[in-house]
Amino acid sequence: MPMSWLLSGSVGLFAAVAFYSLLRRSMVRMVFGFVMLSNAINLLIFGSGHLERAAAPIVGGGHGDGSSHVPAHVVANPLPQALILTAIVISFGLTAFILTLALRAFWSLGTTDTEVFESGDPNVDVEGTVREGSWTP
Amino acid sequence: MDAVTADVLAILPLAIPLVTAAVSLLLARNPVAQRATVSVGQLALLAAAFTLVKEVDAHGMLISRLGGWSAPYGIVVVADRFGAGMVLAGALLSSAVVFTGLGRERADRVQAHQWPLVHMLLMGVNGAFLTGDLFNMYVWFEVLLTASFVLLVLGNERIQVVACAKYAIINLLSSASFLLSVALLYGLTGTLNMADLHQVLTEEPLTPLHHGVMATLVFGFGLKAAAFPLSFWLPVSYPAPPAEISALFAGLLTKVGVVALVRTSTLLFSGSEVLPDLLMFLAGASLVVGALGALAQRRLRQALSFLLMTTVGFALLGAAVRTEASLTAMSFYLWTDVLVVGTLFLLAGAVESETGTDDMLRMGGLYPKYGAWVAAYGVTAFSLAGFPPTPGFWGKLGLLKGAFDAGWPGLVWLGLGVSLLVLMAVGQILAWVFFRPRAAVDSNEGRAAKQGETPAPRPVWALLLAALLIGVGCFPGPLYDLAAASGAQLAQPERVAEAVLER
Repeated sequence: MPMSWLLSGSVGLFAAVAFYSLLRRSMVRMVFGFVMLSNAINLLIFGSGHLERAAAPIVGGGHGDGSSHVPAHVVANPLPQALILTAIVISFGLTAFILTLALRAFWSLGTTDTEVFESGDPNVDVEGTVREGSWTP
Repeated sequence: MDAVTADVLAILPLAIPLVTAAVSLLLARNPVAQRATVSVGQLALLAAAFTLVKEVDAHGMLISRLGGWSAPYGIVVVADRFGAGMVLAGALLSSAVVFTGLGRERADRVQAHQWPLVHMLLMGVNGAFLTGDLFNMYVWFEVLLTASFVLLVLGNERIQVVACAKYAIINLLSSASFLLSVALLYGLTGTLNMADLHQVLTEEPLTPLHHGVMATLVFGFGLKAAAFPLSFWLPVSYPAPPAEISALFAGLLTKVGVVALVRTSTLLFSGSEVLPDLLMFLAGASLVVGALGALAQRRLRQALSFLLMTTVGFALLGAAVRTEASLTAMSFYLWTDVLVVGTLFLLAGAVESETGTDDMLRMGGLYPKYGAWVAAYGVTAFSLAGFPPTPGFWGKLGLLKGAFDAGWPGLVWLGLGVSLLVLMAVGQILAWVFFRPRAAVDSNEGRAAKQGETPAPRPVWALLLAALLIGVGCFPGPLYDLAAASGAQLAQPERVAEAVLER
């Protein structure tokens, strides 16, 4: 049971950090927020599979006749691991993509500040005032 | 039909785009071979989609159990009538998009990578339409999202990078919300098979926890579908990529969200009393804001993006009412709407490259020269507004009648009022873009700016789609019969669940 509390506590902590970062203006921080959010959800999937002390879910076979028997004792739920593995791979790929995108935005606009994205011009901010010390490619 | 044929047919709409994408990626340096591969793959997909619809209509449903695992344990692909119809509509639109793009006299690096990505996108879209497993649906969403991110940014224009950044962050949030709901639903029910979820969730009354999960699910899908309070990203990002790609996005990507909401409403949470009200709110808000937004725009594809929101609103209306009659009309409306919106965006691309600008106030004077374009625009635009004899009329008629019969008479007034606003918006576009004489002041400015570009592709395929649509509008009988069978199937999720679970 304490393990469940620890798990839900860390899900909450991760999600809080994630949303704080996602609400920042810098796109790089948004990427960090996304990474944290994926991790929060991965832990949540782990927790939703019901943590319990149980044997490894290995169905014994090997009698030489192709038969297998269901273990007599309680086994752990193997499905959450499969789900988390898939989710990790997906979020890894997407993180790589949006990091590249942030880099591309930096090359193209000279900043990763999303306020600048709004005006589309690297030297002009949302209010239309020209920024000091602008970076030009 | 034996089980093997059923298995293969249900899988083909996923396998053909995968193979096409892989082979055409290998042939990226050989434009001629790549074009041939993409064309063959596209035609094969179209043929597979036609066969799928024919077989699904004959047998009710094709179920493929991947790897031979029986239903709640393995992943199932369930091609029901609604999903198969969406696959066919998507195949028709993507054929028009691919052949329009291939007709371009251009074979650069961007094009070479565009076609593999389009087919990856199609695989994701078809997967999301046909899957019977919620986690698998998440995976297909990510497949189509990744492809759409790259398609959006391919070409590296500044506007594309900015649009893609917004689109990517919003969509990652939407996927995160979807995955969160998947995890919580699994924790609550112990299953992820959608048919099994239907049985478990209708067994007992829903608790507040279930409704919380439902809310996060609707939030995730609503962002994808661009239903109003969640739609701000759409007019920013859809006009950014090349016209064919934005036609594909507009026709298919928001529909994936709508289809997912239909599955939520009719299959997963068919027992929820709250969901119709929630969807009704999303639908009504999208209708009003979409129509008003379209009236206020100057840029052509941005105005069309707002009009796209109204079609999402109408489709959600059917998903919210969820009687057999309204689900029938919703199927008909959504299938034809894929083609209507796609054709409009394809035409918009032709218009933009002909006039050299995306500002409607600088366009004009296209009418006597391009009579066929005006006719095609007329068919699709009046279909959005809901005029007979266009397919939009039959869909809207059924949707509003369904809403009236189900005891929502206010929605009829809302639908009619919004249709009037849509009519004003499409009429304004018609007058600005086609009929008004070209503004003398800067008529050459836009063209001069785009001098270096290759000549615009003729929108032959958009015209063909428009002809098909007016045909459907004049003779809606056969398609409406198919839609009626689809509506009956969607209205009886318990029978679908029994068939999938073999109970």
